Amino acid sequence: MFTDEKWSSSKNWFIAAVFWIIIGMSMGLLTATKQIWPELLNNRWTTYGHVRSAHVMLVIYAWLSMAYVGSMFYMIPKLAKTKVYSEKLGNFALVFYNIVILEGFFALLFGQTSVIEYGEFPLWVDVQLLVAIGLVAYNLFKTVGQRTEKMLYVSLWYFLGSLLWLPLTWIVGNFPAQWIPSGVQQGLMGWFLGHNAIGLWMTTVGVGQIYYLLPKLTGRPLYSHQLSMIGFWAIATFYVWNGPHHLMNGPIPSWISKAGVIPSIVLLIPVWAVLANFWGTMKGSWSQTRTSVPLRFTMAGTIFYLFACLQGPLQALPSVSSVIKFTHWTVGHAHMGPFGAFSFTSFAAIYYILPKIVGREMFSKRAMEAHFWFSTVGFLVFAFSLWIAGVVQGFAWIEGVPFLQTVLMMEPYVQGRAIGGTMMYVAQFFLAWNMYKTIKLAKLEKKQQAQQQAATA
Amino acid sequence: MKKEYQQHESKHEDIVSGIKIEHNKVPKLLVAVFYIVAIWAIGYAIFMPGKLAVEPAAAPQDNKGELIFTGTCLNCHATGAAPDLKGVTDRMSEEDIKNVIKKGRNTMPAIGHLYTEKEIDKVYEYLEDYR
Repeated sequence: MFTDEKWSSSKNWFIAAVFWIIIGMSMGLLTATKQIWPELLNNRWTTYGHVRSAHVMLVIYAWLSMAYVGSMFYMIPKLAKTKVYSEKLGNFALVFYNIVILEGFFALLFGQTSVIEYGEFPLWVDVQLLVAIGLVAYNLFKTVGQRTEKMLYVSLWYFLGSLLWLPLTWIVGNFPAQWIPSGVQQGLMGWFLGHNAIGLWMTTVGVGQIYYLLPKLTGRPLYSHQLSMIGFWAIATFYVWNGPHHLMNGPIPSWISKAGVIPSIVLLIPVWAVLANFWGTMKGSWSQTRTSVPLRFTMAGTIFYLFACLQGPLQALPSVSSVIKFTHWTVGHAHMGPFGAFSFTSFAAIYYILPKIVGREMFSKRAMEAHFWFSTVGFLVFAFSLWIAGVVQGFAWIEGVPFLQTVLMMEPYVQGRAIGGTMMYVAQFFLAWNMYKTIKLAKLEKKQQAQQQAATA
Repeated sequence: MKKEYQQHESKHEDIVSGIKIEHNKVPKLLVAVFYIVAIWAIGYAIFMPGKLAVEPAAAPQDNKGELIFTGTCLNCHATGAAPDLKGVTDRMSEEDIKNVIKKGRNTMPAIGHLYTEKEIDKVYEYLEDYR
């Protein structure tokens, strides 16, 4: 029933991922539009709260996670110099994972939620998703187990670490938080998942992707082995303590606050180490970004990663947090890592890997260019609207401006965000169309070749 | 594994899975940043409070009327969603105004149950000077 064709898991996970980015981002666009016209689609299923959480869960666990798994199903066997342990299991896990995501999506639209940021799916979905992640991790660990390359390239460290950390944070964040009584403890448990889903899954797999893509795309050697080790172990050591900074100035004990602030700032070490390594590798190759869209996506991703990680530690400081907390700023920041940095590297991964799998170049270079520019410009419009809005909003609250008045002040910025968001959304259709065309043409060409061979034979 | 690295060190390049890895030195700027961050972290852990220090409230407040007015009434009355209240005490009697606050009128909800009689008096006093 499930094919064991070579590279089929990777390809199929990518296809599913791109399907979900369209669905997930349309939820996001609906959320943004509802801030302009609150009455839009205001029925029992698509209220603001339902749609917003569906957007967050779909883009992270459907789009981004599936794109990650897709690239790991290609990069891990390549790095291990072996084939995927079981393509069949990979395809089965994909179908299972998609069913679970669908369940979670509908559960959210029907109003079931566990009210944990980045872990909104109800408990019965959480359990199944854990099994699906487990299947993927098992398959990929087995793949590494049968490797013929003795050394583990740094990307493999990141991938294997992430495949352990994701289930761990998923368990800690989702299960106890739903059993223990509500309150501060629950908030802390929830934010363990909330921040580590970003730090020990999105970031680490994304960085692993870049470590793989950069030397391949530029043909240059990786700059420094030592820096890659510093980056990996520092993020593995310090990231887990980032959750509490989300409850900064809230009703948590002072020492937990401090324990959240310090690792947040210390994260500058792995981030700068990793980026120095990337940019060191890039030395002399920057001109290639003019012609190579995947490389441009990768480098734009690293730049957004830098900015996300300049904002992040500062936001963790109590004084900064007291201004921007609960404002639009946070939303702008929260999109920079998942979209600006790591969706970009995933786009690059798709553009690099897909042609290798189907044996044909991407159908349209122009569509790739359009995808890049709409994504980038759209995101900048989107993010700057929100950042300006957040700062204005934060200081207006401190000044004691009546709340409704501050809501009205946000009008132009919220519109700007929706315009930028529309561009980001439109960009993804270029990706989907391009992928569809490429895969279809590749199949056609293979058929023709087979026919020609049959004719000549 | 470590030995293997040392063997390769002379070439200053390893090849893992077909990817070349160089052994360049960590840039000095980064080393400096690492040290500064580490020292900061220790200093912060020892010397800083974990939260924003909040100043205790100043002298007892006798501006209760103003607080309620700006905190509640202005949410609608300053935004154009409801009529401007400047000089309202010239247009309506004290009893009428208090009744509107307590029982609501048109789209304005009743908020009498949220405040004591004394607080409503204070709001009225504030309204007298609000023009």
